[in-house]
Amino acid sequence: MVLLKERARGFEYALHFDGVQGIRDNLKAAGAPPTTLVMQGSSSVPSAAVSRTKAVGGRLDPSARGVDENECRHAARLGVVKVNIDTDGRLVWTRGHREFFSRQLR
Amino acid sequence: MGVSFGQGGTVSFFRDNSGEFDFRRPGKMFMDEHAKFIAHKNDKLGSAGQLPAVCASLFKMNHSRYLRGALFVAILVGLDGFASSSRAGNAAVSARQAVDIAQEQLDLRGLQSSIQIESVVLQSATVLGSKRVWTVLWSRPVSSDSGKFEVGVEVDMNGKVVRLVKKTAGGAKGSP
Repeated sequence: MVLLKERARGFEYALHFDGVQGIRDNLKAAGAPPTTLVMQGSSSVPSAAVSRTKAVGGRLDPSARGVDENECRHAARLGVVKVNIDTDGRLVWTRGHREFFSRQLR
Repeated sequence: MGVSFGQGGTVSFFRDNSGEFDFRRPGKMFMDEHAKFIAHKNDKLGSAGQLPAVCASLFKMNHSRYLRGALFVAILVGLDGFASSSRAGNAAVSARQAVDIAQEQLDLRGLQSSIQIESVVLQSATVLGSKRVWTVLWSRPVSSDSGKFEVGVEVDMNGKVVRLVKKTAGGAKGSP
């Protein structure tokens, strides 16, 4: 689903929209009933969340990143009905608790 | 709960502050942050502000199903009424009035949101007599203090209501 595009300055992540379209085309050609698609591993891992988590002691690779949130919307137009974003939720949990205890200990 | 800060060691907040052992405080902060996170994702993924449209769509779907069911009941009642009109005469209480009376029973007991009217059928009150009653059944039995279950009500042609109760181990019988 995620396509790595090598750029001059490093890797760039992008959703493989033609792959999604290909899945839909193949299902249609096979006579499959209307099928919904789920995008796994679609957390965006925003840099701001990474920075805030690191500021309170979280050990994260500063280059960590995920799927561009704006691209998820495009995927929805191609039939994706569920987007799994657990990593983003865990980041919120970790940051929230770390920030709380950080303030308590100061 | 151990918390590691920067290059320092691990600090156990609850171990060192046992008097403040309460997970609700960090939990509350997490809930607030999580609410913001969900709102942000909804906005980004395009689902924000769609609730009224979804509710309207669901209502339309359920309403359509209800109307089909009501039409079916109306046809049954109409056929039954047509077949028996020559021997029993016209009902003094219409199907609509019977439904209103039954719904009032639910409303009076605060059950209107949990129990629905499942069916309305015009029936003979006795096997040999010509007396007719509306039998209104609930979507599910309502338990009573006596340990019995109310499955609906009967509404006679004078608008009098008799509750239909079912023993836990027996059949249904009328109870005024």
